[in-house]
Amino acid sequence: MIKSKILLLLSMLLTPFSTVAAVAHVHGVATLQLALDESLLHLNLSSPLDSLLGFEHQPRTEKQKTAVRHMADQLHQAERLFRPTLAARCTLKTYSLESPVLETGKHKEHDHEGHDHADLNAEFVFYCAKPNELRDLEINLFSYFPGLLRLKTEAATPRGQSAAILTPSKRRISW
Amino acid sequence: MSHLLHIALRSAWNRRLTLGLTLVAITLSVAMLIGVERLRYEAHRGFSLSVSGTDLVVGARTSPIQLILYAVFRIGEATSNIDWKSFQDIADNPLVAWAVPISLGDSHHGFPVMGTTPAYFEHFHYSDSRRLSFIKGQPFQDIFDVVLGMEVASQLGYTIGDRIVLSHGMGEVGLLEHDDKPFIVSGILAPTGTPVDRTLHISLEGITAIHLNWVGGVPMHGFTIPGEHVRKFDLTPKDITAALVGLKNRAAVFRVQRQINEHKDEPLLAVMPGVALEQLWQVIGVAEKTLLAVTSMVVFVGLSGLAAVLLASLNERRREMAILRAIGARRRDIFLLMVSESLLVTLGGIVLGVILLSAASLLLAPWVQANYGISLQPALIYVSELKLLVGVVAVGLLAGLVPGHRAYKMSLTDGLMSRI
Amino acid sequence: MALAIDIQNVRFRYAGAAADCLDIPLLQVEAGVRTFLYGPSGSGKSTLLGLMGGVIQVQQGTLNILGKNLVQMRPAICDRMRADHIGFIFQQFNLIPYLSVMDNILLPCRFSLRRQQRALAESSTLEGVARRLLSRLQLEKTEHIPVTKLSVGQQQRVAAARALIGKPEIVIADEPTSALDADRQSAFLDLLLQECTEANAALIFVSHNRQLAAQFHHEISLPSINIAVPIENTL
Repeated sequence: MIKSKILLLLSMLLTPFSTVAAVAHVHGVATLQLALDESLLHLNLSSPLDSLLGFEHQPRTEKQKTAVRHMADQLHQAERLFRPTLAARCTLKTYSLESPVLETGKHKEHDHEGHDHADLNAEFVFYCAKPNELRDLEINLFSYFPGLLRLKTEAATPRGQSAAILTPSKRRISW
Repeated sequence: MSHLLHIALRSAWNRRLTLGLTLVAITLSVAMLIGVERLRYEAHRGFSLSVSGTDLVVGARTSPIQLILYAVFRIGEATSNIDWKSFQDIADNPLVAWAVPISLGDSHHGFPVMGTTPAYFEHFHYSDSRRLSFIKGQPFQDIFDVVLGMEVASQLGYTIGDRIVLSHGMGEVGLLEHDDKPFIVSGILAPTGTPVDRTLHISLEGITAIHLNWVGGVPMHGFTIPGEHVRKFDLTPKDITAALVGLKNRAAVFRVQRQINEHKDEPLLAVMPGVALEQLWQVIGVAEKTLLAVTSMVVFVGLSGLAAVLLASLNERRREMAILRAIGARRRDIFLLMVSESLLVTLGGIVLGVILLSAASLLLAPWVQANYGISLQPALIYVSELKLLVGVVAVGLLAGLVPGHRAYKMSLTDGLMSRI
Repeated sequence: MALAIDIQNVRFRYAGAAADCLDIPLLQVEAGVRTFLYGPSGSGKSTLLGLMGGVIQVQQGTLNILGKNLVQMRPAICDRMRADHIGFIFQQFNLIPYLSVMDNILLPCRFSLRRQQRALAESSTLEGVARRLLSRLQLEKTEHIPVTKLSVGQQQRVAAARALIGKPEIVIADEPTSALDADRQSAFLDLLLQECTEANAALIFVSHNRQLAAQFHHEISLPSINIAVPIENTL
């Protein structure tokens, strides 16, 4: 029973940053959820804007506006950011980006002054011709977004569920 | 070479007391190192094999690891329950293929009692997508039927038709008993090597039934409802401990997880068991590494002791080395003599350590299983331990290099040393 | 007659020493001949024996053992020469304490295939050869006694048996009798001389006791052949 007490203690230590993993907003950290179903590889990236941009308000200066454009440009080229196993022959099918800074035409609901946090949510869907060959995914976000220090990944594939924390020196998840 | 080995063996035997003590130290340290690694391996294996095919585990809001620990591994207790209504909402979600409720809290001779539905036997998978199977009997059908895990049946000697009284709460002694409503064994599950083996399974209605006349954790004084009358009551549970959920489409797991986490009526937590286990390893990994480092240090200390003993013996063996040189031994032979002695003791320590550990794990397996839920396989050595043993041999070799080099240098300066 | 040992212009100096320890213009020992080498302590005796055995590497000159020059020879080859062709007997503590009398005697046959083959030419088993040597050296029934239980005289005879097994061409005895009392000295010497003659081995017998020199073909005084300037030398 000692062990179970230790485990409980450990699990309680983990509580603050795990319970709310899906909605956690920690600068420098982003979350990537990966689901493989049949031929479709779903990637869902959610990140505090700070990790990608260095700020979380509406761009004010020219420099900040350039940064937002730059970020969007990178995310539009998802095949550079995410490299699934080559043999699986995956190609980007659809994607969507969602963030207050990108909704330029709309009412800027989140852009009142203060210390509000803002996120980016992006979803990418790859079609894989040989999904059985899909065993790993290389993630190059760290190269394009130096503000990103850790990427928490969660995966659901036919081989089971897994989780891993990626860093600039460990960029590949496999399953 | 064989004559050198013979000499090394005889020489070692000549100094059997000091070397023997060193051997004991190395044996114990190796047994400790391998023991830690074996527990780690078995814990990982046990946890990883315990659940499969379940996409989400749902419980009251707590930490994901805690939820997995109590819902799947029966370690610890739930802080709060979830409403039956919430469970029904989850089961009704169009993306959900199946949902199995779990109700924990009672026990029988220290084994946990779990209330569930017959669907549990259909949907719960373990290991590599293996289903539960019955070696005797069938799933519970009556309110007072109970299905036993293999270990419960074998340890307590139960078979089909036996009557069992459940206890309220967990623990071994001092528990209030549900002795007014005994259960009858309807089935025994085949062994799985998972917590299922240690669980008594009854229907959710059974859980409700045995608590009908209970208020606040104790039976109401002077008021009993005989077993045959409970059927007249509405036995739908008010709440359950957790739920196992399977999805129609795996890719929906994150969506369903979010939906459940944002459930309006009460705070719920849905976790992916595989992900929670990874998180558990990440946390435990630090402790494991520390433990492995400490035991490695113990082995290192043992082997340093060996090097020290060999170095200390060099002076008294100077004459012996000179004689061997005069007879024709090469300096390399003298070096090999020291190294082979060190390797002999190291290998001896490894062999004895492995045997010691195997004997200990054979003896302690039932106790470890009962107290920590880790099943130790009756194996002499695991493949995963080989790399550690290779490391021990390498360090043992290094420990021999120091006195070996010393002896080599000494044989150079001593010459034939015809005078003493 | 062929030379068992042929030393010409050999100089040796220990690493870090200020002066030569040995400088021998000429020292020759013929095969099968008994030579008495007289040398008081400090005359470079141990060094000379080490050189002959190839344990100490020669830096300069010619050092032929049975026609092979040890100068410039690889240490492992020197070790092989020693194992194959030379038997050593020291003053005392000749034996490996944890090996039996038999194992001690057979050691040279373990390190030298040549000694083993030559021994097997005499008898079908190595143990047979060893037993014959033991009986000739009046050591019957000591075979299984731990060597530490033997008297000093017995130990020296076991050492002689070990030096002689497999008939090496050269036997070097360094003060083998100095730990024995006078009676046993001559008895041991007689046995040793007899066995060397039997094996046709050249015997180099080192001693500071010149009274023993009478039974040898030659007597050589080390100080007279070593022209190195004698300095304080503890060896």
